[in-house]
Amino acid sequence: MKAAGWGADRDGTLAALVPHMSSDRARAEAPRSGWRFTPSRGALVALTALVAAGAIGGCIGEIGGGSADGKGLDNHPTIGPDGRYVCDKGPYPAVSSARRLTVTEYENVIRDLFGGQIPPSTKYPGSYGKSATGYSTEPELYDVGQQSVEDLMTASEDVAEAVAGKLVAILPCASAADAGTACANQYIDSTVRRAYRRPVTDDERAALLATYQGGRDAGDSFSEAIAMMTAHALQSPQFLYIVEAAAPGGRALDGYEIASRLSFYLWETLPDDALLAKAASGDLVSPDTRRAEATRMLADPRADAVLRRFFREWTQTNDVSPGNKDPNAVPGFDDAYAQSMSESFDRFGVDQARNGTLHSLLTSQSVWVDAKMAGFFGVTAPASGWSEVTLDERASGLATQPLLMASAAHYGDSSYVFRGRFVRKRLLCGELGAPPGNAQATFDALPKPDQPTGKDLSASVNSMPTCAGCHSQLDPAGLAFENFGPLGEWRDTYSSGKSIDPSGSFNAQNIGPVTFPSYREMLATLADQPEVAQCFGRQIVRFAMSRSDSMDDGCAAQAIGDFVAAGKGSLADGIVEMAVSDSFGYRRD
Amino acid sequence: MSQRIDRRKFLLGAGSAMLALPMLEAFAPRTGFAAPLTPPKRVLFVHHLHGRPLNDVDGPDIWSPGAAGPLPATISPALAALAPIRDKIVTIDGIDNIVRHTTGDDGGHGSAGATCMTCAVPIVNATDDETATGPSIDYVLGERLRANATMKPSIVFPGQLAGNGYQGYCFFGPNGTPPYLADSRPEVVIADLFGGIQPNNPVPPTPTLHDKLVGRRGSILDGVAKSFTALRGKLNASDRDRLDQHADFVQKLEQSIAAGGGMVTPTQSCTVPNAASIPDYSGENSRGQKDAITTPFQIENVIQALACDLTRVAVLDFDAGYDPLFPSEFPNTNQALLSSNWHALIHENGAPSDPQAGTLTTAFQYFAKSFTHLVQRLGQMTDLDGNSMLDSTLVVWVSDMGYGSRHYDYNIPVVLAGMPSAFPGGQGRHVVMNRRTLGDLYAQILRMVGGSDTTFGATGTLGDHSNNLSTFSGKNISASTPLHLGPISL
Repeated sequence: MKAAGWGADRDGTLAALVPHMSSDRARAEAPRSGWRFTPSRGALVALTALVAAGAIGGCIGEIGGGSADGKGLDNHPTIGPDGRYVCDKGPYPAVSSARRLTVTEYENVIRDLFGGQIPPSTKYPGSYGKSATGYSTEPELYDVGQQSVEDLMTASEDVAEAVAGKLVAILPCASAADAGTACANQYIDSTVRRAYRRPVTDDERAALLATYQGGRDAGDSFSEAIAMMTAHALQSPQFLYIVEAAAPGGRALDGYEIASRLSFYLWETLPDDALLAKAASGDLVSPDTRRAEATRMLADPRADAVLRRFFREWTQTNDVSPGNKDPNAVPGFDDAYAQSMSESFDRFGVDQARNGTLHSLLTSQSVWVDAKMAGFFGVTAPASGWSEVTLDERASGLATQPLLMASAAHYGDSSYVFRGRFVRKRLLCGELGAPPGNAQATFDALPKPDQPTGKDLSASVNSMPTCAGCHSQLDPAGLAFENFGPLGEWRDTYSSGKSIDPSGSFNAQNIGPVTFPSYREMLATLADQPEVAQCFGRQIVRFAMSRSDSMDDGCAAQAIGDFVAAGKGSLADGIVEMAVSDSFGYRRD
Repeated sequence: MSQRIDRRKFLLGAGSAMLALPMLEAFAPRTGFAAPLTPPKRVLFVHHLHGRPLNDVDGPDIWSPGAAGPLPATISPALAALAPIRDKIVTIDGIDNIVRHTTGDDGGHGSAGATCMTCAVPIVNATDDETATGPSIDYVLGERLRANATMKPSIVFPGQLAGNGYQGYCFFGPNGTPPYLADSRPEVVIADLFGGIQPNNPVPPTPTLHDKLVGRRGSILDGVAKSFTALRGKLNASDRDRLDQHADFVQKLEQSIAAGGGMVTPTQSCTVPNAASIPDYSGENSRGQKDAITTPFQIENVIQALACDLTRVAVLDFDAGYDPLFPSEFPNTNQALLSSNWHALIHENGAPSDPQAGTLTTAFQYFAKSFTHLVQRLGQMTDLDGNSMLDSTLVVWVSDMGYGSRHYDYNIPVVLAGMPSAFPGGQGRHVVMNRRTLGDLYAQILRMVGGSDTTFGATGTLGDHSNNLSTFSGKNISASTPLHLGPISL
């Protein structure tokens, strides 16, 4: 298990695959002084798999063996002279790993599996460790230990007991006085099939029926024996893990596998009946069908929670609480205020995902307010609930949402480092090394003027060559937001009375120099950059696939980026495009 | 009022609290439940983050009692609150975490967390991001000391409200797997750990479905194992490894159940904590105010988990997502901590004249007071032989780092208490080692509870495990530096 500390920066693996890139591309993305390209374990696995696939050749998997159109599957994209992926020799299967359901997924699955009649157990074990990509569904986070296996057992018993109490409603044939093996098989073909997200194999059925029969042989009633079988099914890897058969040479996923990917990507739960029907018919193998289904699912309110999670995890924005913020920063900031701030951020993200573009995401002057947040922004409160209002030019999209600014800040002051990290890592997908262990002590020892401004502090840090490598890139983007205080509140000057200078410039890979008088112009410039759109594509790949993006995901990320690039399409189109991509419809091992 | 436990009824009912012990077996008449006269050995760890608050370059070592010998009356600025138990403790200087330097990582937290309790060479993922590979010392001790295979080897209790982010940081099961983590909410711990103990309830005349599910766990897990087998052949290597690890734990659980329960031996003082006595803390209080309410109850949960023989090794961990608070010293507010958290406070300290040195000293009293309270409570508890539980319980207070302000891993702060028979040199002393390792210390602890260990964790030299060593802040380490330097004399 991971024991990560502060500043562990390991998201993204494109750099790890630099040897695969053309020399031009590799040079373009070569590390600058102080910048670090660190291959993650996921990247190394991907790299190893690529090598292995090449060495093994051919397909030895049980399913598939070629694409629907007869093209080979052992394909990898290349980089063209313009630095873009060349994607005309696909499909491009990518490596995927089995992962256990998250707590949210488990709760949703139990709810949907039993029609809302059975409460999920509170004992289902959650994640452990730190995410490499920043997204919370990475497989490594859900590896089990001794305690979690025991927790899985007791969680399954909680649900099994509840199922026995409502079995007739769940399994009508259980009402018959002579309910027996035939009815148990019906349970397998209905409930367990949905729990496994595919038809149950003969071996699996035999194991489940053995557990059922063991109960009957011991004198248990039918419902009690079904409870035993339920406890068995809910501890089985077929239920607990989103798992697919290996395909060393690559293969197209079958309908059930795609249905699972879709439903967990957009709804965090098992496929609904409509999706399962299309899985059974094989329709989901068609990209057009996948696009239609993803569009349907994204429009459904069940996608709200996923979209909220995406924006939180992409931007690495956490809830803030009164205990962790200076109470003098915003008068009256309490738990209810904090909840409103979180809700305001989430509503903005969900609305942009469905109705916005990358440009509006980064430049919109809209915010969502209730009474608390209306007070925060100094606007008229809605009569009740929430409403969208347009602020003045000080607001600029996602980055200036109060929650993001407050999350990327200290207890009693802003943090140009945290905010710069958001821009460089999450908007531009840059790789950053963690600060050295003595960073704080080194900073403490640096000479600083009395009541320093952000730029004063940055200048001190950048006077140290060992610090300047990263901070010269990091700080300017963060200093642009110095007009936003520790809770995201607007300020014209520092508390010392000194003026704030939000202007600056930095160099960005594949963009060049970005010079700006304030964050507004910086964000407007970035919003129209293909590099930012491509980064958004990579973030969607990481989010949807629960892993770092590899070279084989390059075409998927690029296609999403192209969809959301300025003037070309909505964020929703990009999110849907993920489901249509080869990364989503194929796999290799 | 808490419920007092009748030992006989406890023994009959305790099976339902032991996860893997079938209830039906536990309800069956048992023989030999009379208390043995010799109490089991127990170990209680207390752990806090960031070591000694100040480093030995920028400021005074406010933790160290100074020269070897009898502890001075005030002990040291940071440990002043240990004065009431001064004659029951041994403080140690000169213990280093050497194995952490195999990582080549100067980041500090990741490598410290993965090694400070395991002494195992971690996997380096990235700067300040390591994966632990070994079980921590508490788990190893627990595996040896527990009564039977159904007893949890070690339970890690968060000392403060921690939310979902708390993961134990330094504590691990086999191969770096998650530890047994108790909830940070004391009332949830009472339900989770003590909920199965129903001393005053009669044995039910007929088993409920729950009883049957618990009693049938072995056969259900056998079926689950078959489901793993059905899937295994279709997986790639990494997925197979992931699911094999899961299946191994299923098999281990199944074996534990098959082995049945051994003798659980609660002490005379075993008392089920009463959740109803915990004041409501769900309101608008600050985190510090909530911790002021919950921590004393959590400490009592730790004591009773040992007293009721739910485990024989426990950890009280002051982590709180890297952000412990100090309600006994700064009541009603977080503001006295100057910055956002303990981590920042420690790092921001500079010269001895810095006012934060005083704040750090004050804050540290919270840990010391908690440790004192634990030792005193153990002293009040009556063990199986009529003596104090402190006589058979070794209490170990350690940290993830040495001088935390610079992430240094030398001079880990160590305080030992209890189990006086394991200290030939007596207690009430300060011991100064001429550089020993955490592996040496943990091997000594294994010996103190009956082992013959000479090492714990990785062995050999740093160079045996890595050719990319992290720095040691000017201390003289090299590839030839051994991971064990010999026994510790106490």
